[in-house]
Amino acid sequence: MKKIVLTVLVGMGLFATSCKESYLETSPTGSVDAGAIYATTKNASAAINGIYRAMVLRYLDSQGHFGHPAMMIILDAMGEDLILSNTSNNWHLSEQRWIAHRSDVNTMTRFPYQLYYRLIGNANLAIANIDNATGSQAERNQVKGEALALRAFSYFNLVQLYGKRYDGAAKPNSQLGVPLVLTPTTDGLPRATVEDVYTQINKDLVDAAGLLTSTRTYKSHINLEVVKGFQARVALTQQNWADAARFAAEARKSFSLMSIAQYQEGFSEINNPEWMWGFDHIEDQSEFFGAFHSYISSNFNSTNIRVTPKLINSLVYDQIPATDVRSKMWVKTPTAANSVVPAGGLRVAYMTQKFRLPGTPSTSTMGDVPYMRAAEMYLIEAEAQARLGKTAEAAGVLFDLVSKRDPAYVRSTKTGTALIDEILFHRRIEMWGEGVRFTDLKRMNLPLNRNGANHNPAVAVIFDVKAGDPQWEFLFPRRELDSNKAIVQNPL
Amino acid sequence: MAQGQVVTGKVTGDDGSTIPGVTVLVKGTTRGTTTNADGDFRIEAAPGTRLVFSFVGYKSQEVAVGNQSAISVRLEADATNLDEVIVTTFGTAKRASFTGSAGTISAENLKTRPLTNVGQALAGAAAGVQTTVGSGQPGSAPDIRIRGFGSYSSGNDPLYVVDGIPFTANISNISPNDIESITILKDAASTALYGARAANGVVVITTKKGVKDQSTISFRYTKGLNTRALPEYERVGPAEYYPLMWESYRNSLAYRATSPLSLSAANADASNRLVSLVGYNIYNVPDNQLVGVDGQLNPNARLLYSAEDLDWARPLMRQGNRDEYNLSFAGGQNKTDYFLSLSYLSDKGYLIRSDFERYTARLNINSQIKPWFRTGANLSATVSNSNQADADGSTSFVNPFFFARTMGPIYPVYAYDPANPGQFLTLPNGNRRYDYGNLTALGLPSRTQYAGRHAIAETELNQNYFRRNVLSGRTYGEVTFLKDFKLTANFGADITNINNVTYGNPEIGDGAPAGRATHEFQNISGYNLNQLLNYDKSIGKHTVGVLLGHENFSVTDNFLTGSRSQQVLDGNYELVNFTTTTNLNSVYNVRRVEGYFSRFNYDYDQRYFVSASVRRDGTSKFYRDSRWGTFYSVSGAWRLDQEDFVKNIPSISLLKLRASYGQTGNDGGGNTGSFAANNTISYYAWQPLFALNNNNALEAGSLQTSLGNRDLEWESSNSSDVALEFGLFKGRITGTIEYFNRQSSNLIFAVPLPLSTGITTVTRNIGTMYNRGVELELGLEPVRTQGFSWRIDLNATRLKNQITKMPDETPEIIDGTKKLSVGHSIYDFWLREYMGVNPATGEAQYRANTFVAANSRITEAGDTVTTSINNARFHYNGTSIPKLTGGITNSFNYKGLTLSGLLVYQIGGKIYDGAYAALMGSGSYGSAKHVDILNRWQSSGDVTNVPRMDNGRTADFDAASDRWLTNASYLNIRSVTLGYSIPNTLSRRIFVQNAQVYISGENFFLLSARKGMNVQQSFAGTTSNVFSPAKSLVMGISFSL
Repeated sequence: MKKIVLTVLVGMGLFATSCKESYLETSPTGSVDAGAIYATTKNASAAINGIYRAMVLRYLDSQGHFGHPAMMIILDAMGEDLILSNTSNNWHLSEQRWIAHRSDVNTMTRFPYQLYYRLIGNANLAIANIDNATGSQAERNQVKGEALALRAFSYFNLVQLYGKRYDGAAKPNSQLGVPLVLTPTTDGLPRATVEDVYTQINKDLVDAAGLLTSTRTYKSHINLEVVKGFQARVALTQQNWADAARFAAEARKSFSLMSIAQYQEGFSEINNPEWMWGFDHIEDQSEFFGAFHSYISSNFNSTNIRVTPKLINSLVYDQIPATDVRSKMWVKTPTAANSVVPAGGLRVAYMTQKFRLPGTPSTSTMGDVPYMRAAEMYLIEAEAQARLGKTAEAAGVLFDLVSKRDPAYVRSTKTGTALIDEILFHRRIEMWGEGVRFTDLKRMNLPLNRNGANHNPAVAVIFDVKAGDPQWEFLFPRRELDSNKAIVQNPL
Repeated sequence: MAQGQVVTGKVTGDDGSTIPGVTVLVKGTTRGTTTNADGDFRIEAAPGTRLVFSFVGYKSQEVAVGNQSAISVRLEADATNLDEVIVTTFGTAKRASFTGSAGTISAENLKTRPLTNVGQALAGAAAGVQTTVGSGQPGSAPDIRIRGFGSYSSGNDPLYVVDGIPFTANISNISPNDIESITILKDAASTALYGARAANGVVVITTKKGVKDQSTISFRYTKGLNTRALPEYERVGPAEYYPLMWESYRNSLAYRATSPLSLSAANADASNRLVSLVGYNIYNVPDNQLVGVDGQLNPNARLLYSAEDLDWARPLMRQGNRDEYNLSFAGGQNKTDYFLSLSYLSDKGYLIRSDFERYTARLNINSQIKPWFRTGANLSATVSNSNQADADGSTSFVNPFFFARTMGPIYPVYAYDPANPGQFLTLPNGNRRYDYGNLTALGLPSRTQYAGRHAIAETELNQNYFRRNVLSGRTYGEVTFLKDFKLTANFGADITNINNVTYGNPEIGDGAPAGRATHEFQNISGYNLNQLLNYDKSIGKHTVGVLLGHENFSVTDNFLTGSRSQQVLDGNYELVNFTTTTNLNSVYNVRRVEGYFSRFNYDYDQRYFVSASVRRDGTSKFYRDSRWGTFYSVSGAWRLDQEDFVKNIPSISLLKLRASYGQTGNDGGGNTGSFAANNTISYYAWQPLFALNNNNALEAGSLQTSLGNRDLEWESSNSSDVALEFGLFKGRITGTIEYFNRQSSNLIFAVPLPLSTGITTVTRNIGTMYNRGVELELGLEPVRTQGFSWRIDLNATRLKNQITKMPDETPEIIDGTKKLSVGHSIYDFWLREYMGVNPATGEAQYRANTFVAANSRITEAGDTVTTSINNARFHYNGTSIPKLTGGITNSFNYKGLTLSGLLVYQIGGKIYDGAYAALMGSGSYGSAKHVDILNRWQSSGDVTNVPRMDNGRTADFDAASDRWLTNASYLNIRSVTLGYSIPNTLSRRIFVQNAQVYISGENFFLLSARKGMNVQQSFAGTTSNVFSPAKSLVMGISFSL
């Protein structure tokens, strides 16, 4: 009997280990609940920082598609000024050949789409939820202002790639742009018109300007000046010259241009006085082979840099005066004495030295990324003034910039198209590798013309694309067409 | 020990033939012998004892010795194995009364095969079981599917249960030598008690136990080697290669859309530029004369190097030695039995720096301590060390298979001396210097293909290894009370500690120039506690069994990873030897399951059997309102052979009809949070989350990662099964024919959202599909004569998989080369339709979506075709699921000599040969080409299926399309064993018994549609540059004392 009682007791005891309901409640350690992230402004600011980080992550598991910095390289590679020296390393080769952005299943049609809409999606969450977050109004304004600016920045990138160019003379621009998603949703929206997209971009930027101030702790954040920089870029693209000139001037006001010495420091340090906005790369956030300098620098030790150095268009380079510090950003006849390459790196004529990581040989994997520099604002202002016919103002602004690069520079006496051409020449050499050439050609309705320069037919394949050709538009990714029936594909 | 009289005799089968190798044991002792080649035995036995005669395939027989000095015995064949006890869910069952569907593999089937991983034993072993070939990495296991593919995203791996407890360590930690049996539970009736984890079937592994009064010491040693099983694809040599590259460039000029060059201008440019395009000229003629303007290789050109100098695979390969030692002690006295086993395995892959070393120890003790209390423990410890090949990324430079396969045939492995072409540069130690492809400083050219990389050097200099310690324990207490009741508490724990190390050298490759290392430490702890209350009662012809149970399961993983770069000293891969921390992180994850269950068994007169079970399970993966699910099964069997109307038919020895129906679940399981998140369903699938560790420089950052879904719940699988088991002509023919229908519903989909929503997917329970099929298992004995027998075991499975419901939001999901939609299987190919080559232009043509003047034309046959890949139409074209799969085992037995072979086959199905497609590109200077490229279009009028070489049109010509589909039928000789059992009369002279010598081979032969194609790589029917499978050949010896 004792045995039976014992058994029953043990048995009941064991069955009683059936646990409390909380036994099955678990939560991750690597993530936080979405509800908590917009509960306070402190958490919300982490979400904003997450967006900045998302700008430099790898997309689609592709090493060469590392967020916005990859787009900066790719959009230049699609122009005529940034040349891949050979076919040894394939990264961005099909982009240079204008194949990648014209195949709906290629990474290149999906990558920028997914990248910028991810930024937009996260920004939309911030905009929709921040008003109820605990914290001061100033903190809420900061979060919302940055979110609005990031959304505008993303739409501006998208509409320039997937929509036909904005034509300031044909308002409203009723051609199709991209879906305008402004609140968190899981539904697919149709493409809005290019005009509507620009209207929203401008509205977001005005709202952001109202919420943000010049104050910021880190240069990786957007502040009022950066918003004005966006407004200048947008106005230039919309051929709204007056606004472009005004915003550009305001944006750069508190920034100084680099000295000749600073110009040769390698474009990899965010503390450079000319940088208005950038990504601050630190050691434990290294993406190794999936980062800006792993593809554009002269000395990062990656296969891409070693075997396929990036070149400048020889026709452009050959016009740079030797007194101009920018002539040192590329080397026409590179030798071990006059150029830095990683160990075992190739040297090819007209190879770049502009972007460079510290150390020889460099073992660094950290290069900061310049998203916006004051020099671009000078160039926007000069171009806008020139197009407005304000020759003196244009030449003056241009002189303010170029004289800092070239002590021997003499203030331009050109007028009209010649002056504009001179400004654009400086824009080409000043902004090389920073991602403006493709969109410059497109906004100005110019053809692609790679003839007569150091383009290798085996690499470039494509030498001419006429202005207005359907190939100027990226195709919508198959993945979006499959999951969003409202999307109409661009003409093939 | 009482001295007895000498008893001699002969053992025969029921057909009169003598049977060698029959165990003859004096009952209750350890004394025994075996019959010799003529079936004769000789043994000393006291008059009061009994002799037990046993032999596989025959019913055991006992004979009282009495005064007899000569005893002859006739054993009755028992091919039906009705008395076979199979291990099932929370218990065992006799094969005869089992109402479910299960396949078994016994120790006998495993012992002579050189298996490093238990999973390898499952290929071809039972109907309804499909396996891939697995990787050549020693220690790795193939993928296993039981009765098709029931889930799209929750995983299709079966549940592994080791000694009654779900196993949370890697099954490569189990020494196959310790395994007594493997049972593959296939239908709901046999798996439903595992409820939410059972939908993909259950593989039950039972380890060996000691046998009372039979103390043995067993030893086995095998020695062998591994080599590469599959040949490389056939690729062109240098003489064919240069003209192809010439042509690719020439055509890119002559055919380009804007401002094309004239043919003669293009020819001249191509001849001049050729060597600059590929980097190397390995012939003795000037660069610009290597290929003439006619596109032909210069007839005077002579190679400067031997084929060996240009062979990138050979230096990576070796004959990998395999050594295995197993020693076990087993026995038992009175009320206690024990089994102690020690084993050591060193398995070196055929690829350099790939191996697997394992030490295992296992102790299994059981004791009936009190008449009413039994307890035991089964403890094992495994220490594994393994060097892993860097073959994970299909297109990673560091992957030796990718690198060697796609390296153009014109690049030397070693650096030649630019001053003396044909001679090689050497290092100070006298070795040849590797040509990294960018030794321009030494005057060498720059290789177009993978300059600055060298997979051979990198494999030699890098490190990628793990050290793993696993402790696995099972213990139980069992109380018998009130005569018919039994209460059992089982506890099991599997604790894995693993250290993964990767190191990139500073000389060449991803680690250059500073060197870098990553160390990962992970602890995975699985705990399982269950309590079972059994009631078993027989009253007359009625037998009833009832089980009540409860189970708690939890698995946790704690993962710490740290990476540093900037190596200080050579040869030290610990992080302390590096200066800059590039990553440091840890996470902790937990998953829990709790369940209550019950089973009821009833049989009447061993003729009618019914069984029912139910389980209620909760999982931590789902929200509290959705996490509980109820799973159940009902099943029955009818032993027709016990009915008089069948008993009268002498040719029928077994006839049994059984059927089952039930519901099981699938929550995706996973033993670590990252495995589940990456391969099945995240541990935290219901929760809307923002991921940490998205910091912006020094500021904390967090990014949206999932939307969550509180309604998310189990995938469920409703299965029915009907089978007829039969045995004819005294067991000469046995078999089972079985129909199954497995309906999976509530399928979890990561429903693709429009990318424009900013988040790519949301997880929802949408979708249903079925796996239906017929399985046939047949055992035949065409010859069973004196001294010689031949047995054939064959199984075949016909499977149909079809999706019957898809998400409304996305009725079609395109996933790589497949599209999921209603009416199709999950592995139906969805590809652009290739329409051959335009004979006039050599362009690749596809069926067009729409007529676009710029790129379309209408053929004479009336088809609208396009040369633009973006206008090419997709269509369904076949499936990777074969029409028929299975295995055939032939065993021959002649006087102690045995020969057996397992053939695995697949008939039908298609495979998308991506690795081949990569060798068929029309451009890519420096990249290797398949010999099929020689059939390319060259000039107007050529009729061929291979487009022209054209480096400017690779996007159109090389695109993914049904051009790359191939028949996936194959025939694979998976294993062959030739063994000889030394008669004990002979082996006794050296004081051993049951001695056996054998030679055994795995993976010896593969017949498929294309040489080099890894046709068994994946169920999805795709190929890539993976660690190609190995074949092994071993010799072994085993004996006991």
